[in-house]
Amino acid sequence: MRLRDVSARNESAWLLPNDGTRTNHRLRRDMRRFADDDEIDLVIVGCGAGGSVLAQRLARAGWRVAALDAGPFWDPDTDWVSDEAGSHRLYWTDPRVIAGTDPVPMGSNNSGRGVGGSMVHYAGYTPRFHPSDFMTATLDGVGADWPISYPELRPYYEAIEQELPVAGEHWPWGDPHGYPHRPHPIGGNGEIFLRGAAKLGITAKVGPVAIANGRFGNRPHCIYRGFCLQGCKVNAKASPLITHIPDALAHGAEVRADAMVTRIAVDERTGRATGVHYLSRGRERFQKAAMVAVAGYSIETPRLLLNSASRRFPTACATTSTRLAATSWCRAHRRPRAASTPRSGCTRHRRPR
Amino acid sequence: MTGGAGEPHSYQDRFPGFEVLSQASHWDGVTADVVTSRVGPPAAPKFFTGPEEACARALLNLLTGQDRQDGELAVPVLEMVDARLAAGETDGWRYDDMPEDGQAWRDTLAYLDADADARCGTSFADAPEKGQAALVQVVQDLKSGDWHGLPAAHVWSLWTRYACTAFYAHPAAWTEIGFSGPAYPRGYKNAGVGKLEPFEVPDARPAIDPVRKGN
Repeated sequence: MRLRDVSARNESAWLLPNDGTRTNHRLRRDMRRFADDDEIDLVIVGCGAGGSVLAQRLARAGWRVAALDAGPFWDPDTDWVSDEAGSHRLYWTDPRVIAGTDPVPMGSNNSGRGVGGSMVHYAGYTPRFHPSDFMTATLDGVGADWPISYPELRPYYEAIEQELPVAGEHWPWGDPHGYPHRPHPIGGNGEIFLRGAAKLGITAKVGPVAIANGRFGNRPHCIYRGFCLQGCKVNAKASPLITHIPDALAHGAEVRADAMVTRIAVDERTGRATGVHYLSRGRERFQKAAMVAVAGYSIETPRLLLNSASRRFPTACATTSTRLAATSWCRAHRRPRAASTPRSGCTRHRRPR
Repeated sequence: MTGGAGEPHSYQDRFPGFEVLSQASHWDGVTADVVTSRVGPPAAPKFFTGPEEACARALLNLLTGQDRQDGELAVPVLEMVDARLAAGETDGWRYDDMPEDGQAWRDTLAYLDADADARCGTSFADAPEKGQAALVQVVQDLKSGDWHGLPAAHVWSLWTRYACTAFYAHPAAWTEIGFSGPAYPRGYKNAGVGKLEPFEVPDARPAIDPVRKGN
């Protein structure tokens, strides 16, 4: 991997401390802070996988950006523990009701709360979509076709795989590709799986994970602590808290934690967004912005849009129908009945067509 | 939990000499504080009423099948579940055909007492252990069938999720299964089938599966 290319576009890994602690407190203390009535270029709702990367890229491009998150600005040293029951605060646990014949559990199973989002507690598994995944309606008769194709996304996959960085064996399916870091050694479970697959003549590979295999900038290598799902105290597993937020702060973005956006404001005359209403420490506040980006996961994003209905947009903000929200819900809830593993499962390898 | 093979074993037999709290000096301070706070006398229940507490205690101890140490249960599951419900610390979701978790606990405990009264003429807690087991077995066997107007599988899910989350948060359960606890900052250096870290104790009865019938 060309480390110099990576650090030229994203210095996050080099902005973290290298003294055994995990947080650059100075960067946070010196962070730029915008006033509520200062009309910034963009306010982003949600500091997870989407919002953090957007903040970092646009801050570098000179935009005046603030990213709001409902949860805390984590410090892995003091806020996270190597313990399942003690990690409850990492999950989005506002009341949810699930229904249907095969409902997907919420909470620890998907969305996260706090800067870094659900990537703080995900397992790190980072496969690319198979090229055919973009056309499931056409090819398989399920879901919906994407408006973009795999070749359009390929350069972005390559860029993010370098910045996280991703470790894994060469991927032989779909669009064959390698990863910047070599695969991690496998544990007992993986060993048994590979033995079984070999016996049955099934090609199996050590899948890609966003966990540094070796030092990366000032981030240490993985120590195989086994608590990836409780927040990585090592800084080896990628989440935007360490992969994009440090560089965003260094380039003048603001991260406003503990700020729960409740509604997007729209100018009834022009139909343009004017900012966001949010709750912070018990107070209702309003951040003025020329543009609003919503990156709140597939449940909170449509919920916010629906809560932001106005005379101009009677069902949901920025849309004249409920289709956008409905589509997000379907993506969260439905999966093809034929699939034997969840979308995020590590054995979801499709046969090449 | 017993070792099987005809005669009951204490859980200490499986990983002889292993006691997870002896590892606490190797854990980071924040984690060690969280884990060790679970050891010692638990706080008095706040959520359950008296009759609910008696019923829930019997149910949770049946579900987790605990050994007794010097007459005391190794893991105070009732108190741990009660503390969660008192704090409203849910999983962040519920099934649409179930009430909110707190109410679902109250309702289902009342149904258990009603079933016990009909079958044994006592409360669930006062029923003989065999009777308790039979009443709870009915709920598990109903699967998606109806139990007092609720889908039994979702009742079973509620009970077992709370019971297992509490039970396996306690260091005594880690000692029982030979889990050496949090591995930060030391990590694992020796992954692979049949391999152990220097601080791990090998299973003394690897051929005996306590879950499989006939062992």
